Amino acid sequence: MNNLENQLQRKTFRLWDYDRYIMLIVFIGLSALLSDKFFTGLNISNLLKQNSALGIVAIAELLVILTGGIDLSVGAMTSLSGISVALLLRAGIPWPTAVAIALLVGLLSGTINGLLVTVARLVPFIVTLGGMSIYMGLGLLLSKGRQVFYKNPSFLVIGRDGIWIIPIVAIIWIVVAISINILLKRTLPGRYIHGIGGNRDAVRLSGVNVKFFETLAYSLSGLLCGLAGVLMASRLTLGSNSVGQGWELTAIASVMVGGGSFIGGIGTVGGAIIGAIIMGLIGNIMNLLGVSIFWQQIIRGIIILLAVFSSTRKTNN
Amino acid sequence: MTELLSMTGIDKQFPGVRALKGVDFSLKAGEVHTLVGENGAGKSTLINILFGALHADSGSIFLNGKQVHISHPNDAHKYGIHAVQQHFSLIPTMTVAENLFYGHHHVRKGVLIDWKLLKNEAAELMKSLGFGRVPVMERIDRLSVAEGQRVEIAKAILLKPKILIMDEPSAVLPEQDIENLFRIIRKLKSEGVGIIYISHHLDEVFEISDRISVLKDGENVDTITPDMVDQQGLVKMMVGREISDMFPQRVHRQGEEVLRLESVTTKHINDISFQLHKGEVLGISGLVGSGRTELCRALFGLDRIESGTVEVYGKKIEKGKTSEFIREGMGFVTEDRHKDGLILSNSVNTNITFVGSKKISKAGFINRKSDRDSAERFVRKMRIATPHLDQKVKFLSGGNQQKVVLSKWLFVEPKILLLDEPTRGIDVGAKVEIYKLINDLVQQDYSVIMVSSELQEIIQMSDRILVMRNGSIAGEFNRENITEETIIACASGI
Repeated sequence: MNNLENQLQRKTFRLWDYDRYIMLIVFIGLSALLSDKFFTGLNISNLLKQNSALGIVAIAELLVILTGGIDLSVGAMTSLSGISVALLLRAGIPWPTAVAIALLVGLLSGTINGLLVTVARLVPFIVTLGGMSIYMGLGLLLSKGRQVFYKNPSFLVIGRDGIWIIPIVAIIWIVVAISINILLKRTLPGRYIHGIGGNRDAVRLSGVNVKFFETLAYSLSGLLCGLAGVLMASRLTLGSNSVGQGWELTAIASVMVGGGSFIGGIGTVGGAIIGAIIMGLIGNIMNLLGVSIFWQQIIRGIIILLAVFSSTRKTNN
Repeated sequence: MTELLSMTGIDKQFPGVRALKGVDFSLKAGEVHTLVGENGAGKSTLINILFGALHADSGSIFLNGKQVHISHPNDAHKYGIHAVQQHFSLIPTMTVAENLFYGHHHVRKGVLIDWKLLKNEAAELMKSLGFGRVPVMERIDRLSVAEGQRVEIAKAILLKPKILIMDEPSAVLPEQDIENLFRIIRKLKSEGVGIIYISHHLDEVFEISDRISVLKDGENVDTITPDMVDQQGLVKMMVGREISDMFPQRVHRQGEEVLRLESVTTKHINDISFQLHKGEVLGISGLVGSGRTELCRALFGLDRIESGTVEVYGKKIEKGKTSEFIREGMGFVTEDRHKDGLILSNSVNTNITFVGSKKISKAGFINRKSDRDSAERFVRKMRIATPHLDQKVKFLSGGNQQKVVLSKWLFVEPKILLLDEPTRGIDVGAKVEIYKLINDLVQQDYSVIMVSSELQEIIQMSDRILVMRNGSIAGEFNRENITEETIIACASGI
């Protein structure tokens, strides 16, 4: 310890740190073994299409969980944004404007959540529980509880087409993931969001405007949900209230499976993505195996518990 | 007297530190055996092992000559080992009476709690211990710290311990209660209870102990009886060197005025005025709760200044936000580094460059190279013992964590540093390093305001000393004419 020159080693490699990646590879391997159709372009393309929007929502959830909060309204915000964009398109608004407004709806919803947490000082769980109900209700009100069909061929391209076997929605997911990863790892706001979850008092004492950056996490969460809603509206060719239902739970589970923690300050974009893919693959595998939908629920729950158990052990070691 | 307890060869290793090295400790029935030692010497670790809260890596524990394994506090309770901690074992949302009789069946009528009996018994117990003034039907979280401590003591005694661990029981008690505490201890002794007593107050130690064990850096230096040494001698055993060696010398000088407070008043402090000069160490002394920390908080925008003005380098603080104080060149090393000093789940690197993050970034984007270089510079300069820059700070020892906190402020090159208990809970070696650092800083024209409960530290390090009492300044002293006695007298208003 006294020899300063030798003191700073490189971080040591421990297999244990990569348990998520191993889990992912195991699930992919299992899928390939169970079905010879798994590694076909069509299946991979479908899997990506099905999980991209949810994957973006998992990243949204991560941002809030990093601050030590929770966002139960991600599904509702996704739904509201999807209905908004569909209604606007039906009204004949050009698609770029419609998309921009839907994104704004998401951003605004998230910001309201954030302000209620930081300025009104309400508990995140309660704020977003209320938000979930309000945004879902708004969606029902706007759509009169019906599916919203629209006609706009150029908008449909987003959810339908792709480059080679990679759908456009998956490319958007990847771009989001890279951007948020850079935000969290390489920028000051990212460092502050991490820090707020780790120790908000220490961050405040560092002269950082905690309220602003905590609100920012909720705003970004809303914005990403807005984006997810737009992608879903394009892929399904309609706006629907059933989109996004239960997504908050899958998103939270993805963050947890990816090594995030409710204590705050712990979790990565990579983890959230792996979590989302694992959650998607579990469904895929069980469908291939013909496992009943009831058992699927139970097995999902067990896998979430196992993953969280493993990350708790890791943090305590 | 029979050997009630004997611990032999206790070893305990924490990440990066060997907390205990083959420590032996014994206790006879009806004896008060005191543990003394600097913070970090291993006292709490030893006690926690006996109490089952920690597990020894090796070594054995014998009770009445029989080897036992204590792997959980429940085991300790079973063997009649109880502890008076600093009210950690109380449930804050329950009343005093409920806390005292938590888990006792005789205060129930069938399955329901007999509130009348509960209240009467609780009141009776508190009265018999001389704590009659504690309101037994009040919730714990509405009591003062001292009252909570009285409840904690009563609760432990109610459990009829064979061995009672008292960890700093007097730290938060007012003067008149300490006599009372000693009366209770003597009564327990006469009933054959063995007491392990931990205290930093040496006069108490000499008054109440039958034997004293000195721990230093995880080793039992010696076990003695109080008549074998005087206070000076005991300190020397604890510190392992003379006090005068601990505090490195520096040239005392005083430059221009850099900070001026005029009648600053917040919710907690009253009409505070003073000046600080370039290259000066201004010590702030006073009892716990006298407003020392609150003064620092006011000077860092954490408590709103209701009236009065603060000028930093001749510039008046306008909005009083934390970011404004930092911009004007102030830094604040708080007393509790875990609570508001460090982001424990973050790396050494991130913590060091956190406050000065603007220096390692452009338009919000972090320059990774300058980030790591800056952190590495401080790790080397401050001799922070960490395996790598990405180590989470929670795995560092107390002294190294404190160096990280100091680094993060030094990185922004403040002109004035507020240090609140800068050497609390760190070992002697690290203390001396921090004293040297303070001396270096004032030689480089930094100015320092240092709050400390350790009187020698305040006396040896300061150029001037302000003593606080009840949120106001009770006295100002120069380094030439101050002794521990004058500070204590001034702080307690005698």
